[in-house]
Amino acid sequence: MEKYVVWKDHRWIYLLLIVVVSIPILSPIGLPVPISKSTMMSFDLIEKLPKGSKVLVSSVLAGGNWPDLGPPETALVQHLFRRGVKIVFIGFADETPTITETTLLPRINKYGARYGEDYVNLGFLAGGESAMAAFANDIRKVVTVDFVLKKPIAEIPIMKDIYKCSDFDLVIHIGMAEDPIRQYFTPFRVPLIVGVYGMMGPHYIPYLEAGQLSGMVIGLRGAAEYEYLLGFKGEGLMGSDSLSMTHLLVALFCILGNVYYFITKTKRKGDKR
Amino acid sequence: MSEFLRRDIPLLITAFLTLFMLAEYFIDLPILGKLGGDIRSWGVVISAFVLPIGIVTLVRNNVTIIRRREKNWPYYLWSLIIMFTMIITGLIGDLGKHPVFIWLYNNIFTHLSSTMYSILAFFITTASARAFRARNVDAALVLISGVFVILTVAPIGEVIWPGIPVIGNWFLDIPNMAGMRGIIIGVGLGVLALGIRTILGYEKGIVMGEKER
Amino acid sequence: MLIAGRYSSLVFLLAFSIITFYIIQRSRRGKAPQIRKLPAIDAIDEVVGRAAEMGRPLIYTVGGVLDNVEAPQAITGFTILDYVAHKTAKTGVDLIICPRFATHIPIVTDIVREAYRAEGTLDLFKPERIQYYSDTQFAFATGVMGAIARERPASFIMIGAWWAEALMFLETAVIYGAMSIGGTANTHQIPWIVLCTSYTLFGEEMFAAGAYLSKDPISVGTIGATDIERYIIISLILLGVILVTMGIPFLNRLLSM
Repeated sequence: MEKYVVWKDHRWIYLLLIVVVSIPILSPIGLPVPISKSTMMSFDLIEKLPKGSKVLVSSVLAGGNWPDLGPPETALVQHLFRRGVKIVFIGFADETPTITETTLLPRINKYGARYGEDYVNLGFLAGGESAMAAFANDIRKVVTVDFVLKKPIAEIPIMKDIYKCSDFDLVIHIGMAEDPIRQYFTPFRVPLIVGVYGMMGPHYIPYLEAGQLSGMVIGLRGAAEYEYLLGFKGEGLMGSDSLSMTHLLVALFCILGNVYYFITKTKRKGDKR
Repeated sequence: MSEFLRRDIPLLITAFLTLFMLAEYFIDLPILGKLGGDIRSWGVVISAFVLPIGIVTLVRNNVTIIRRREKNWPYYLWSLIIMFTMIITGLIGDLGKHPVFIWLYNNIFTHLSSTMYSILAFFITTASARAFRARNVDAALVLISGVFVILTVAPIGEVIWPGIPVIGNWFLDIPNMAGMRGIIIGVGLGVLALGIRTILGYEKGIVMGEKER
Repeated sequence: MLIAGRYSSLVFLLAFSIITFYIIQRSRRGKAPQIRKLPAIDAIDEVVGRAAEMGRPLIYTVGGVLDNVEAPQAITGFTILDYVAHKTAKTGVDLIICPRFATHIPIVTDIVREAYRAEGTLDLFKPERIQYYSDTQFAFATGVMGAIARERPASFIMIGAWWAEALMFLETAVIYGAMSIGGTANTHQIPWIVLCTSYTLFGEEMFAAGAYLSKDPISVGTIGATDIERYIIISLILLGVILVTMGIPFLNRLLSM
């Protein structure tokens, strides 16, 4: 039996995983994507936004976390452009403004939105949660020029009448949920939707149930659900089948590992007698 | 440097600023709001200036290893070359807009970062295969709930059996939420305790070693 | 003058501060509460001893930014680093420190240098063993994985606020046969740290670690105070559940003020 135990040599597991991830990408299976409550709440909230509402998209998107956070942000921002709302982007990771301009926005249909009038990129603020607090309380104190045109923000049309977090109708944060709950929702009570890593979804359910979050899009699965609701095929739906196969493989290994454990445990007990 | 300058002044500054920011959070006075905003801006500026410390440390350590021709020294030299290439090309002309910088960022850095994140999939699978064992009742409960939740968060769970997401969502919404709330409250109390120790000047851990205390 | 919607938070803050101050004063007078055993902290001597016997290094890494709620976890990491540094200074174990952020570098340098100085082995302190890689998450993770692969440590300790990078270096430590101790209050990483390490500190055990090591009455008193505060919160939860079930939203409204 020992020679059949693939987890004794990790390379077999890696090979199996590569095969299991690749096949659905090359030949999609087309598994159905049930919509979760948290994604539906996010979609409904954005769908009800009047045209011209002001939305803050605050993010820690970077190259490293793009696989998990990129698809949710792409889907959410696509929906915002479709609704014709005004969008202000701000980044709290050093790569965020660059990746927003070079990777996120080129993938999105902006429906004729113009930079400066309908959306603006305010760049990166160092300092993590402290920077978020400073930004939420007084935007013009910490941001003087935008990222693309390097124009003073007082001269940018979209920033007229936007001075602090309470001037937005909705905040969307991509990254961890605790910081924006403390700095956007708790002091200003602005509705907050978050796009979070897949493995962190269960961690934030208490905040969703308590009403501190108005919606949540959880990783690649959440992005797949959102794209399905929007009616376009992005990275979420493309990766959804691979996600299913990978999860199935992990579950199978958990079960098989324990079957092997119990068989050998019984065998060891038998040998002792 | 005297003990007063090295230990007491930083503790006094920390305690004073903590109390001030607490007052600013609770009390509605324009002067507090303005000063609080200034202090938060200082935090942003200080964080930005800390990065050069990392660069200096990296350069110093790598140069020491290169000079001594220690094992694998060419890799340390390569890391310095790449680091300075990114810094210099990022600073030339419009910040972050040089073609070489953009090419390196889009074609190397972003893909390397995504690759490293993707390695997690392999490690999660091997960790699960190796270590998830039902050695006792508690471990068995964790295993069963884990398998249901793994299959719930992927669309395939509902395809295998419609009851899987029902049970999995129950695990997420009831025991998971209860446990998370308990841990969140506990961690919050721990953070509060640290804050109170800071205000009272008892938290000396970051300005002096254990024995000195 | 007080901002609306924050009255209950202020009341709780003042009440818990008074409780904490009172318990600290009691502890200073010799009536400190007892802290239960923390196997992960007791195991530090074991992992340092393992490194000394095998003649291989010990890698220590601290996680958590210092400008948000992760700071207490980072501070716990520094406290335990101080203890570990004293042990390695005494035993001559090669201590390699991988700070997660540039902000940690001056703090860990100072802590380790002072620990070696206090033990009289300042000549063993090597600043180049404080190996900073990057503030970027996966560049840092790659650096630590590389350090484990190159140095083949006997022991690996990671204390602080960890995210996805935790599993990466823990699996690498397993592959290279290092004995690990892990500690975090980040709930999403607890399963991986428990799976891959020999000993774990999680949740509030992190914050008790400093008190457990130092036996300092102030630190121990603070831990005791958090227990009392927890009983107060549990009582309020139970009372709230009963009142809401009876259709009385009084407590909800009071706590929302």
